[in-house]
Amino acid sequence: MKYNSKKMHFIERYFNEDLSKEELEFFELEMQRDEEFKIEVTQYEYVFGGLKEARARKLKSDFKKIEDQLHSRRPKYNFSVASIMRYGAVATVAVLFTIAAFNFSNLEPVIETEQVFSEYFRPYPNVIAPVTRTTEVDDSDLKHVMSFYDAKEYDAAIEGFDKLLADVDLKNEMLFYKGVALLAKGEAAEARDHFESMDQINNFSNQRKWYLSLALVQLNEITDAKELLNEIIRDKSYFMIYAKDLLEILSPK
Amino acid sequence: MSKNVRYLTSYTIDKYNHSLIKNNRNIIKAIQQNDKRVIQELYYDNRDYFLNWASKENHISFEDAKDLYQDAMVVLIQKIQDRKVERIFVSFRAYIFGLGRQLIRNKIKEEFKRDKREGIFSDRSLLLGENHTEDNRIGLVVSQLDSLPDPCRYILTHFYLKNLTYEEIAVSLQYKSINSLKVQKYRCLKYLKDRVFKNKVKNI
Repeated sequence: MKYNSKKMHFIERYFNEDLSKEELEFFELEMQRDEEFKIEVTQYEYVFGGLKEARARKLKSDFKKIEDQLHSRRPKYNFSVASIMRYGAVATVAVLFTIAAFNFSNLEPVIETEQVFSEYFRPYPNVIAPVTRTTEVDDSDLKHVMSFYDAKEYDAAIEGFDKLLADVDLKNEMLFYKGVALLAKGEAAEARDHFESMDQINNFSNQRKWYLSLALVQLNEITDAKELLNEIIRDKSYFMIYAKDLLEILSPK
Repeated sequence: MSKNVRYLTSYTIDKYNHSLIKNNRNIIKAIQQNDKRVIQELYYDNRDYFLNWASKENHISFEDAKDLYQDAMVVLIQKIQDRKVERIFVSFRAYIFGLGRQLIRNKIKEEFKRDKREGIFSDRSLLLGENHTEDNRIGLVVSQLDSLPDPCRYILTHFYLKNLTYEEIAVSLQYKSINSLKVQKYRCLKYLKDRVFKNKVKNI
């Protein structure tokens, strides 16, 4: 069997126990007949096993986080009567103070925007280098700039984006990737300006909304960020999964 | 994550208004889509029952029971997301308890085997060796995956570790067809496999 994607699909289905009886017989026959194929299958078993186990460990660590949240939320019921009285008095004062504070100010719940941002921000992958052959810009210039972006050398990448911004066909993409690079550097205000300068309807419109909302979170402009996150959910774009999560965090009850 | 997750979600586990199977189907669908709120709600909903049952009836420590509960939840989520389980005809709680019972049996067997080995050889390196082999495999595969260039890293991470569908990845990376994404995924997988084995040989 030579390399092709159909063969790989076949091997993956074998590990997913998804082959029909006839296909399984053929697969096993092929393993006996073709030593190279057998070695290849063994190697994929190693890789698929590693990926599966890595996913299981990630899931388990997610459950451990849920457990930690649970502990931080649950009160400990080991009060004595005296301590209840003491805590009761303190709590009464605290409640009165809180009510007064709400009456005299417009307090918003505190949201750790920095922490939220770092949890959700990931540089968007480079997906434009292979799809720019119709533009007038020399492909190698773009690849060169994007290689800086891939290597997280954002200063060099931003310098390159600035040069390529003159090209009308690439303007939106360059504004977008420059915005992401600025965001990665912590320059949220400038990043927001770049995302806002993009055309709202373009190939990167969904990505634009998501990264713009992250910039707004970073700038503590929570109301605008929430509005944008709601839009992402309404659009049902891929970022909807993250937008729902983030919206919940930004809307503490 | 939301603090009031127990009161949210359109998939909320409604024990009174829907039939069990219809309700299970909704939960399964949500887990397939990796809906974190539903997974979290399921975790909370069965946790205390499981921990009480496991620690009292099986005489294991509360910490071990918690560990087992998390393992049972991992098995459940993986089975559903890998489409190995598409229907559940009992309540989720009964299903999770069933998984837990199996895990406890395995744990007892494993401990018995370990005691026997320790008794004979007074040497735990064999068992530790097994763990190290598994750790090495995950370490090698994940480190090679992390060092892949995009879009390969993105595609494989999102498909295999984050359980996103072809459709979701295609939208995000602007692939024009699912088929071209599949071809690219297999190309990336071969690239990953070659790198893993090149590195494995280097480390021997």
